[in-house]
This record gives sequence, C-alpha cells and structure tokens, in this order.
Amino acid sequence: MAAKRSTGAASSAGTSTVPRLGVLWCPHWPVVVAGAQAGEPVMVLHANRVVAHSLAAGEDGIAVGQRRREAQSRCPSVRIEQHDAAREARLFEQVVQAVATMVPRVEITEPGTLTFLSRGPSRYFGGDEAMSAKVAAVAGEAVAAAGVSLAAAGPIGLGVADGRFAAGIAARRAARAGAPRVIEAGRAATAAFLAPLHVRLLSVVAGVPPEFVHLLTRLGVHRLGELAALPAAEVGARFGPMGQFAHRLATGGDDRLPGVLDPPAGMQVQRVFEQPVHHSDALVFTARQMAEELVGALAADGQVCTRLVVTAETEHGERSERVWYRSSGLSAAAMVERVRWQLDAWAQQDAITAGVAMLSLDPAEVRGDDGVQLGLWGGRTQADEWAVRAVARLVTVAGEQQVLVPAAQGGRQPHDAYRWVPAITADLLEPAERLALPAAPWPGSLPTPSPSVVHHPGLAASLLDATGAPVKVSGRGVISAVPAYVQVGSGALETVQSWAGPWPVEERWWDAARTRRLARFQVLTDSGRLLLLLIERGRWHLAAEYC
Amino acid sequence: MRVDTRIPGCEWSLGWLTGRRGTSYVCSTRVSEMSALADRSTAVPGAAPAGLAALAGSGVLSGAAARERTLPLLPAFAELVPQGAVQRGSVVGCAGPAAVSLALAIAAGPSAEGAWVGVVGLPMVGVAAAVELGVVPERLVLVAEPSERAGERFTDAQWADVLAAMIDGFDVVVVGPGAQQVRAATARRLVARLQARGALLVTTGAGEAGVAPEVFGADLRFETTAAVWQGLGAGHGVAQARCAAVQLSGRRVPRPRHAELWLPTADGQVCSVAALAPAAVPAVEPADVVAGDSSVVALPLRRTG
Repeated sequence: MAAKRSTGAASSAGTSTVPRLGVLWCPHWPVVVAGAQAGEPVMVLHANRVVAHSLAAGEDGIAVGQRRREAQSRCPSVRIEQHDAAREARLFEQVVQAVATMVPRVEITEPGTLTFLSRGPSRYFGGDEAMSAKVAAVAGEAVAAAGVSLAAAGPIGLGVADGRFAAGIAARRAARAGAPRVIEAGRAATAAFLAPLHVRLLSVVAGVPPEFVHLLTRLGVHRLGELAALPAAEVGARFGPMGQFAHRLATGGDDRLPGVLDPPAGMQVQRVFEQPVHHSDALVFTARQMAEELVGALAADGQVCTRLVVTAETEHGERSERVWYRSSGLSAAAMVERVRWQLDAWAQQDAITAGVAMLSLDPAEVRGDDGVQLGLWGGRTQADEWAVRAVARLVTVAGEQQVLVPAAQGGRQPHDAYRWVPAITADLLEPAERLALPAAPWPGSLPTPSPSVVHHPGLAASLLDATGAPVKVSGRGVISAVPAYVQVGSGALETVQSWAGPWPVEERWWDAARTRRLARFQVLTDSGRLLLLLIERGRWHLAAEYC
Repeated sequence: MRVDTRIPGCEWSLGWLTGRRGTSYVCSTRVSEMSALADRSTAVPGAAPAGLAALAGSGVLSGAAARERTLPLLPAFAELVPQGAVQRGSVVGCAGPAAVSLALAIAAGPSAEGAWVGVVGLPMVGVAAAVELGVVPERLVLVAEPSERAGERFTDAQWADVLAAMIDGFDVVVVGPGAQQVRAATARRLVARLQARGALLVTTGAGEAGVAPEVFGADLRFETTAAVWQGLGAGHGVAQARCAAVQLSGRRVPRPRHAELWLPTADGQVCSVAALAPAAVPAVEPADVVAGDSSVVALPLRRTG
C-alpha cells in the first residue's frame, strides 16, 4: 500500500508509521453466499472443517474450526454447504466495486474482508465516523444488489484504526454492535483498545499460530494488555521473532508479518502501448513478459512478491487498479493469472470504451524467498517439476499459442465444458482455480458419456433423408423427414442405422451478437460410428464424434 | 534400491538395501508387511493391489524394483494386461473404432497416480471425455500443431524437438494421427529416448481424421475388433454405453488376449463387461415413430439458456 511504502526503514521508530486503515468485514461471507435465510442454521465446510456458520448455528454451539461430526452433533438440523471460493470471490467483487467508487486502492484480503487506507477518504468525507458510515451503507446496498441476504450472518462491520490488526478487531466489534467503530489514532489509544481483549484474537485476526497463543495462555498471559506490559526485549528473547511480532501487535505497533519488507525503489514494471490493445490475450502475453521481468529482478535479491498492484488504463483514461495478495508469494504464472482475472472482470462490466494503453505491475510488499519444499505425499512432486520444465521447453519449440492446458468453463456444447488456454498464462502447479467447475447446472447439455473427439468449429456435414434431400428442422423443432444417410465433408455416404434428436438449444437469445439457435442429433452409422451432428441456420455440422 | 528374496515357507523375507555410496544393508521383513513397503518406496505407487498379492503368493516377489519399471493401468484392464501394468519405455498402439477412448483410458491409469499426460497430433481431443475416463485435467497438456489453413505445420525437426521435450517431461505421451509425417529415422531416435527416459508412448488413430502413426511401431497393440453402442433407437433414446471387444497383441504377448469392456459406461468411465451387468436399455418403440415413415415427428421444444 502506498503509505506503507514509507514505513520500511523506520518501522521500529515510532507511532506515526503505522498506517490508518479501514477494514470492511462481512461476517461469515461463505454462509451469506450459500443463501442462508434469517434464523436458519447453516454451516460451510472445507476439508471437513467448519469455515463459516450462520448466527442460528452459532447459538447452537457450532464454531469455526470444528469437525463436521462434532458440529452436527451439536445441531443435527444444520444445513451443510461446501466451500466455493470462486463464487464467494465473484459475489464479493460487487461489494469491492461499490466501495472502490468511494475509496482508492481497495485490497481484497480474502472474500468477505477488504482493507483500504482511510486517511484520504476520511478527510474528504469529513472525519472517520462520517466516512465509515457512508462506506458501510454503500457496501450494504451492494450486498443487497448482489442478491444475497445478510440476515443469517449479521450486519457488515466496518472498523477504522491504526494498523491491520486493530482495524480488523474493530470491524468485528462493529459487526456485533451493528454500527461502524472508529478507534482513535495514536499508539497509546490503540494499545488501550487492545488491552482488555483476549490473546486468542492474535490467531483469529492476525494469523499467529494457535500453538503460540496456547503457550501464552498456559503461561498465564490471557489479555493483550498483559502481553504488552512485558518488556519487548524479554519477549523477543523468550519467543523469538513470532513473540516480537505478537508484542508489536499488542502494543499497537507495526503489524506486518515477520520477514516482510518494502520493495526496493524502482521495481515497478510498466508498459505503455503506442497502439492501444483491444485483445485481452495480447495484454496477457505482455503481462507474462512483465511478470517474468519482475520476478527475475526480485529473485536476484532473493525475494518474492507477496502483494502486487496491477493497474490498467485505457486510452480514454478509464482505470482498473486492484491489489492482489498471496502470503506464499506470487510466481510469474500466478501474477499473469491475476492480471487475466482482473482484465476479464473489467471487460465484463462494459466500463471500457477504448483499448488499453498502459499496464503496470507494482510490487507493494515483498518477502525473503524461503523456497518451496517438494512434497513426499501429495503437494508438489518431482514429476510436476519436470512437467513444468517440459512445458517451458515446448513453448520455445512450438510457440506459446500451441502449448495448451484445459480450463473449466461450463456450457451446453461439447467444446464448452472445457476450453484450452495457453499454458504460459496458467499456473500449472496451482490449477484449482483454473479447473474449478462452475456450479451452474447447464440444462440442455448432453448427458454422459461425452464425445472423445470434439470439432470446434464443426466440420461441414450433411444429413439426408431416404430420397437424398437434406433433412430440415423447423423453428418449432420438427424434422422434415427421417434421416437415412449422413456424409461428413467430402467423405463416403454412410447409411444411418439409428438416430435421436432433435435436441434444440437456444442460447443467449437476449444478446443479438452472441445468440445461438441450433438443434443436435446423435447419429449411429452402419459402420459403427456415432456422430453428434448439429444444424444451425439450415447448415449441418459435425460437432463431435464418439470415437 | 531394495531387492527382496522370499524364502518359501518362511514368513520373513530377507532384503538387501543398497545405500547411496554402495553400502549394503541386510534387513528382514515380515512378508505381510512387504506390500506396504513396496507401496512406500516406489516413485509411482498404486498399481492394482490384487496384482501385487498375486505376485507375493507366487513367490516371485520383486515388488518395488519391478513396479518402478512399470506404469499402472486402470483396474478395467486387469484381465487384458498381465499384472495390470505396462513397462515404462514401451510404445502402445491403439486402433479400431474406439481408438481415442482406448488411448485416453490407458493414459488414465498413470494419470491418476500422479503422472502428467501430454497429447500431441490430436487437437480435437475431448477434455470432458478424458476427465470422465479418469485422466486428471490438472496434469494434462496439449500441444496443437499450427492449423493447416495457416500453412505452417511442424517440420520434421520441430516434431523431433516437440516429442523429445514431451518424452523428457511427461510420463505418458499420447500421439494422434497428426504425427503421421514424422520420419522413420526420427521415430527410431525418439523411441530410444523413450526407453532411456522410461515414459509411455500411446499412439492412436481417430476415426475419419486418420490412423495412428505407424513409424513408432508398437510393443503392445490394443485394437477394438467390435463395438456396439447401446441406448440409441430410431428417433428416440440417447447413446448410453458402448460394449467394445478389445484385443491385445504384441511382441511380448504370445497369443492375442481378448476382453470385453464398456468403453465408455453410461457415466463415461471404462469398466470390464464382466464387472458390470449390461445397461438396462428400454427396448420400447415409441408409437409415433414408424421406421421408413417420412411423416413429421413432433418432439417437445424446451427453451434453454
């Protein structure tokens, strides 16, 4: 973040270096996304553990981190939903957009939580209280507009305080109270706010390992104030860097994780295009070069970027700026993926009226690169490393557009379920986001088994009746005659043994440019070939073959 | 590296563990624990446990060492392929009307165990079908040749580079009819590389799009001799499953072996016919469809989208 940039050298010096942040917290966002109604017990599970629950479920004793069986034993009537990170992020994007109209540089910490620098907006809106009331109201409207209800999980909380830790706690308090909470500026005021709170918040809000918190409680340190009262040097000597970090938090000091640094100056990579670029593919390829440049420059210093600001600007001055965060560090592929998400989301809003003229990647926070350990069971294996190297080699031999990996898309046509994306724009080792199947049911898609050979675009074909005339399908889905012969391209005429159809599909009828209206047939020839034919605008195509 | 010898009639097995600097350790292990050990010490674990148990029972216990040199296939191939696994470094040819499904089903076994699958010369491969057959999409890479329309197809040198890179990086390489123009000399060098690297090359034809590239030869040849689709009628039904008679022949197979497979089953997987009863296909002829009648057939129209 911009203000944090200046903190580096003087992080231990004093009070004024801790940035004043606003945190907007939607309590139990996964439950909200799951469509929980007021008073309904709902919990969201990930890896058999509760990650979020509704208020009603909380009253029955369900808590985050419980195993499924334990949670069910406390409330047998609870509705169970699975964690769907992509959907949560998509819905939360609407809240982010609404807030971004009022405050600059919104950072998505995770779906349900966003952080922003509050000093500028506060001055503009006339104080922290006025600003936070406005932002909370706007966020509440955005949630309502997104079509989900907050009733099951409680209202949005907005907290303003010095540092991420205090602001995060203030936001949680605000959610409970139902009104924004502002903590006075200054290290003493922050420490006074934190003093009566339990040390457990260190792990809940700041990500300190729970074992460390457990150790503190066993040693009799229950309140943050008790931790703050201990001499900093003694805490450092007894507990090491993690202890120093926790002590800094408790005293209202700098709240960045140990090992996190400000990037050296001048690391920003920027490209200004003489000719504005209209295709997102071209931009993503440029982003690939930029990301590799940036990662290479950081790696020369033994560092990895954990927070990246991606900015794109069109010829007409429209601007998209997002801050992306990954605690384990962003690889070049991960950066490119985020650029692609950002550009896709931006293009979907129809906010762009011209080509993109400028793209920039700016590392906002870096960390010492501690490398990645290869996993013995699960995780990354030697085979994965070899495969990634092979892909890099293939790209140089065959060209970047020729080496492809599948990405889930969803759709009714055989080629829609997955599409091929260039391997260099995808993160090969963390493919979960790329291959997460959309939850949409796609009514009208063909049942399994799927065809093993898919032609896109379809090959020209013709389906003839017994007299040799082409079979037609009327607008009401009625065929003109029973199919008798089929011919693909200029191949031999084959006799139809059995067939089924037409299965009509009318897609995107509301969009004149992209509407499709077609009917599909399965045709089995007497030579044993099973074909999937489709007729669109009176022309027959071979869409797929069950080979 | 661990080599085990089993003494008949004794429930303990003697093992020689060779350390990195050539030191040998002798250890004894209870035979019942051997399979667990074998599972732990292989690079690509998890062939059919039934095969291992059979090996242990026959006294030819080479466990880990043997399985490092093989890639496991899906359980459906257990009766067709000895020990349910293929040697690393071999070329497997697929032919017949279900060649692509067969090639994907062969690639699915190693893929499920952590291997990467590279596909080349088969740009129209259906990912949905591959996933249903068991290929893990996270570890699937396609190399597409520049389109014929652009007039810039791979040269022989490019084919050599592409296939060499794929053999080096992926455990399974599926080669489609697009690779027809690889020359015999190039193919020989690539097969030598394949054997050194220990990958698996699967060649396949694809119906009308072409036959499998023959230049690579084939150590094992899978061929569907007959395939019958079920579920499709005259104007009604939907293709549900295909019953395929698969024949395995090859250098190390003294006489051809036969098996009947559902390729695919109704949910897109592969399964032996013996293991799954034939799909119940309604043999009802709807009254409104009469074969040979050219009168119109009204079917319900549903607006989707």
